[in-house]
Amino acid sequence: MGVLVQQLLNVAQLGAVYALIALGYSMVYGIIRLINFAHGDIFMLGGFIGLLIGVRLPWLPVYVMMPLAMILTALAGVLVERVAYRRLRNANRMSVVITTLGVGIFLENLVRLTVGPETRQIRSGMPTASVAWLQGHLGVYVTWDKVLIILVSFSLMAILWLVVNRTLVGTAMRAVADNKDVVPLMGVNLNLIIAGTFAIGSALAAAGGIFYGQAYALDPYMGIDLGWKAFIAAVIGGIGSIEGAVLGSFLLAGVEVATVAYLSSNLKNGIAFGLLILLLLVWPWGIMGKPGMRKV
Amino acid sequence: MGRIKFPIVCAAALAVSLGLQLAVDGGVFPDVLNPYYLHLLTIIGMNIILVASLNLLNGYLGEFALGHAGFMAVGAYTAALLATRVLPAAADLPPVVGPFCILVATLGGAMAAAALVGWLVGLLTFKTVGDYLAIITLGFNMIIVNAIQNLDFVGGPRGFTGIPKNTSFFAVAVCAVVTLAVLRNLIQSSFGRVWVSIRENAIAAELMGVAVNRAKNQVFTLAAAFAGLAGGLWAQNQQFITPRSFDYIKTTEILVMLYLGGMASLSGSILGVVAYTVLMEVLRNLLSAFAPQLTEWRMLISPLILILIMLTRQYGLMGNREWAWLRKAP
Amino acid sequence: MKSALLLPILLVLSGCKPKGDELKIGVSAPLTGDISALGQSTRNAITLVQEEASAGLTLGGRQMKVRFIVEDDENKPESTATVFQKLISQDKVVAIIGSQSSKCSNAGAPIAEAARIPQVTPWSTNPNVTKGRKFIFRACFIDPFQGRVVAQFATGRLKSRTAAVVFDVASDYNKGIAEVFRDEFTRLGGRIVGFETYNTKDTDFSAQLTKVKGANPEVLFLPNYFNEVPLQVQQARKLGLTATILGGDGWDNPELVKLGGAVMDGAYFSNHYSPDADSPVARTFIAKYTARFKAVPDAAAALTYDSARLLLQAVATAGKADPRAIRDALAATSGFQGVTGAISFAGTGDPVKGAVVIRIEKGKFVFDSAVNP
Repeated sequence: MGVLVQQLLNVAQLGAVYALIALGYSMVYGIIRLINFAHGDIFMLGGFIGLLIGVRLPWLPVYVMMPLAMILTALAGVLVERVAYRRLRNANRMSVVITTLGVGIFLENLVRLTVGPETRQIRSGMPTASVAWLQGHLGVYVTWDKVLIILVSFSLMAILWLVVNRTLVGTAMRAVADNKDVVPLMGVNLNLIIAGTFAIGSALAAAGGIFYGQAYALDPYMGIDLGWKAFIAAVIGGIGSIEGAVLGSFLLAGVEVATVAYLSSNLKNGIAFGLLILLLLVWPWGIMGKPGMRKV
Repeated sequence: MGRIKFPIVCAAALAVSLGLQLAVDGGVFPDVLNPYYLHLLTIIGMNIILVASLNLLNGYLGEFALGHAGFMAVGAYTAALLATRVLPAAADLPPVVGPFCILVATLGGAMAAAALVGWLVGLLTFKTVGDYLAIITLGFNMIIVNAIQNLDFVGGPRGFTGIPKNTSFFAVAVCAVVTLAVLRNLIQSSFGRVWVSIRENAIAAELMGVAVNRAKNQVFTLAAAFAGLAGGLWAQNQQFITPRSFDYIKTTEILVMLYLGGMASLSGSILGVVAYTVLMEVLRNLLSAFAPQLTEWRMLISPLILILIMLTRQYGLMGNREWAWLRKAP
Repeated sequence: MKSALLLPILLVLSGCKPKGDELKIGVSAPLTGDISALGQSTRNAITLVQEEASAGLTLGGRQMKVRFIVEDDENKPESTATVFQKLISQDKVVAIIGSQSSKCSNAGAPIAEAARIPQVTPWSTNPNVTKGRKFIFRACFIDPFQGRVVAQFATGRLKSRTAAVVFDVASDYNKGIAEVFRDEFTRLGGRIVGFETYNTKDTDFSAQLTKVKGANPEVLFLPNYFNEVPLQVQQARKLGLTATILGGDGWDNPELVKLGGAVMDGAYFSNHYSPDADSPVARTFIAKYTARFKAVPDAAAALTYDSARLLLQAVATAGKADPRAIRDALAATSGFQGVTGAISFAGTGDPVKGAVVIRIEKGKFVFDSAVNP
């Protein structure tokens, strides 16, 4: 029982980080059908911005540091969109993919050359003591920072859901996602909505990066692997769907942890991806995706 | 100027390749024609095979396949196994004919094995399209790498050592020319038109009587076979392979060269590979000669150049145009 | 399109440089990519040797400058092959140092061997790298030796009967040591209660560690790299795992304790040398390195420094800038005093040298015991 609860908490923490990245992939895709492969590196950048703020201004409490890093990363995300993607918005969809790969490699090496190649951790002052009640009653070791990471991630996702579904901006975003050609004629500023999407996606990724740096570690090349994982999670859930991205992330995390816990850690990637392929054969458009989103 | 014919270009390319090979082996003009340039040309040749075969899937069929390095791995490991465990060593066979037979056998095996895997992956992809297909192929790539890591008889993560060097630049050049010739003729035949019709509108193609699934599977099998050929050459050129050389980072590199050159254009595949490989080496040499302390900046400069090219030429260097000699007469 | 023709011309031109009386030694290092921190140490160590050798060498009556040419192999085998080919054919180096990871050294070795250029790898511990080759040498011991050292330490000095291993299955180094440790530990009467793996770049090990915790081992062997180990130990402690932690030479980098902090205290690892080593060579090297780069040298830096000096000594012994003579001088090396101990070659490219076990105390690496083969 204790072990099962422990593993479930492992899933919750890993899934929360995947979800924060996957949301950015999914939102950008939903709105302009762009797979932004640099998004994993925006996540990395967000983590490093948080780290640098922490190093420069160590007296800043974490609840100020984090929003600040999220805003800065959002600006970086918007800048990337403005400089590298906007000109290609009406070009062949796939040539933008190469630009995003280029931006990703650029960001990795920029951080590597300016901050250094070392693995770093964020020590944000989040409490790292174990939750005594759980340890006493279930024999489960959960530290407070883990609990906080899971709770804050869920809150961020809830806020995002409210913004998209209950506000005017969210309505505009959904409208643009539905039809990029007609909606601007109704007086919606397309560039602003797209920039806003990049900003929100990047800010969430930054939150993920900071949590990741707190729970695990940061290094300049970490965005590659996690970016791909989050991309896979977004597609499994149904790319373009917010609920899908979250669901896909926890599913991927769950499959990964379950493979290690009950099958073989040697074959983690093999089994995890085998299952995901089977899943896609059952739901060809992802779990929450809408059929009919075919290229025409 | 009249039209330059395809066979003439091929013959000329092969003649130049043979000349280069002999000149470097014989040590003629060692300062200009040194093995380093031949090594780069060999890599270019292998990458042309890879990129052109991926172009079949991504460019002509219009799918978004992300698992090309996986097919390459199948070919590389098959060829390595054949060369070291099954076939006799080249030294035990008569000269010229012996090594030639071994090369043909290993590459044939590599192509067959990769084609079989490509056919199976092709079956899996009938139900999915677009970005969902990307995940199937990407997942397959990760499964292949993970499986090889767990196979101790091919070295697992330690890699496969002691593969004989059965290839030469000339052999790679011949394979690249043959690949281009086969692909050019297929693309410009009724097969190719079927693929493009699926890319443009799969439903309409189906209504016109095209067996969409069968055609898709043809392309997967064919693309995988040539990726396997490149893998077989790769293994016997580098003499050492490791599973992680074939992960999605390799796939990304192939993709970058493909889109840099331009999709649905064989000329683009050639130009993209040449431009990318030469650009990276020019940067290496310039930095090494003039600013050795900035060696690691190469990886910062090269993506910037890539972005700049894509921003100014959105459809890649060639778009979907072809050089005249690669087009068939109307 | 026409401008594309300019690129190859540039390539050839950039290769043509005036030649002087220079002794060129190539260095293939992972300056970018997943182990770029080691690339940095490599470059630092080479910078030190380059400065020490600024007087040059007198070979056959001719004064020759020594120049190290450092190239980035991105920690990729195919790039390493290109780097080796470039160094040998374009720069005409007489010898090559590198690369660091075994997979890259393995990709470079066939090229060096075919061109008959001696190669000294500082840090590649995979036995395959030198096997059956005449021109390939290394400055470090090999994986099987290290795995045995740790297993004997665990059963001998620590008197432990149960052990668990968590290692990177996708990396040759980690897997090699883990398997030797498992076999040796079992042979010595111990029991392996957990043998769990992960994949390179994973940072969440909690699933594996939760499983290991259920088996409650006395020691936990983590033969992984310094940038991952602190996370593993932190996560293990957070899960309430109390076993003594053991490791290998992949731990040796100041980042280990910088990242891990107090959580690393009380852990042991086998290494090529101990930073509190008493030999004069080691003392001067550590002092110089620390002053120049504001960092404690790691094993890769120490081994690269040794490889470069070993090579320069071989050139001086050979008395000429001839790769074959340098190779013969290298093979005949006996009792070379390096930072990482005495190095001798006895017929193969693998040196005869011992290992040390280091204990971590209050964030410092402290010598614990020495093991000789």
